[in-house]
Amino acid sequence: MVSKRILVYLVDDDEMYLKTAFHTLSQNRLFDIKSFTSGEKALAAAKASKRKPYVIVLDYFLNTEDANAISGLEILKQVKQAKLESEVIMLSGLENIDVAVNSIKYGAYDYVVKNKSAFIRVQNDIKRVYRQMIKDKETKKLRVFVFSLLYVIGLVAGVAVLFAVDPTFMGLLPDPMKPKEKTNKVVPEKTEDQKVMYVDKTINFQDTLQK
Amino acid sequence: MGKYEHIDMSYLEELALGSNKFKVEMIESFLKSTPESITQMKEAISKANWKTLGEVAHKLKTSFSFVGMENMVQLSREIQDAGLEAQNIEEIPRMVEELADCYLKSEVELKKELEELKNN
Repeated sequence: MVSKRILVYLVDDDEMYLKTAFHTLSQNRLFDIKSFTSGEKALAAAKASKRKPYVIVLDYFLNTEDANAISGLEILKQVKQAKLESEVIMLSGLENIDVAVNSIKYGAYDYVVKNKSAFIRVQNDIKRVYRQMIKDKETKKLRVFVFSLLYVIGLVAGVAVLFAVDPTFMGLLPDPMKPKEKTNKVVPEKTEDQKVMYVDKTINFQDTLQK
Repeated sequence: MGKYEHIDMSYLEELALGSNKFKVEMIESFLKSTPESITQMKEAISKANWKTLGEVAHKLKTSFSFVGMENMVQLSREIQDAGLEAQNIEEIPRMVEELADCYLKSEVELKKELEELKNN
């Protein structure tokens, strides 16, 4: 069964922030939240799963706990390269315009500063992404339907034109304008033996009657 | 005037949406991770690793905001900027010491709050 809930991945190596984000966003019954402490784990899960996340909420710094971990910005690039069709919302405590511009440049849907209104903004972003995705899917379905309809109309029109030009379809069909030829049934002539047998049978029959 | 001198639980209350379990988890996480972060910052100072120091302070900034320690949020921001931009390096050890002292004061209040929450 396909879930109608919006799958959201939360990625942050800050345990307190991850717990808070999970707790806050989970209150919305439309959201199905999965949390990850590293970008690598989130990316692997998204690639392996049939059900892709609609939105990935990604911390800009993901290497505070583990210096070897891939940064949020690098994960953003990998999400876009993997063509997961997930929108990425970058989160950071940095109120730095360069960081925000960099995030948007690499395809982030939004850049949200970790302040007291951050969760409200993230929720609104998720809902907006979801609505847009539904709209895109409907537009895609409608486009396929219109193209199919046009194809069928084109096919029917083509056949009609061909029929008008050549009703026999290059001799494959009988010409509806040509009158039907009369066919004389040829009765094969009887052979001499058959004639003799017939005469014999008649004589025999007459003899039987006379008796 | 709030219930405590160093901490303010109103933001955490707001986020908890009535869940005591959530508040307990958050306070426990704070009490566990903050001393670790302070140790990481002191180590970074000893190794003159200013970038790491800035990143740890960046994370602490958010943690302090959950327990309403606005002065510590500001101090963490100053340490973060100094570390990430490698500026005012001579001021960093003093700022980290001040942060560690304030944490110890908040710790007493947070443990008291935790006790109350667990008893409810």
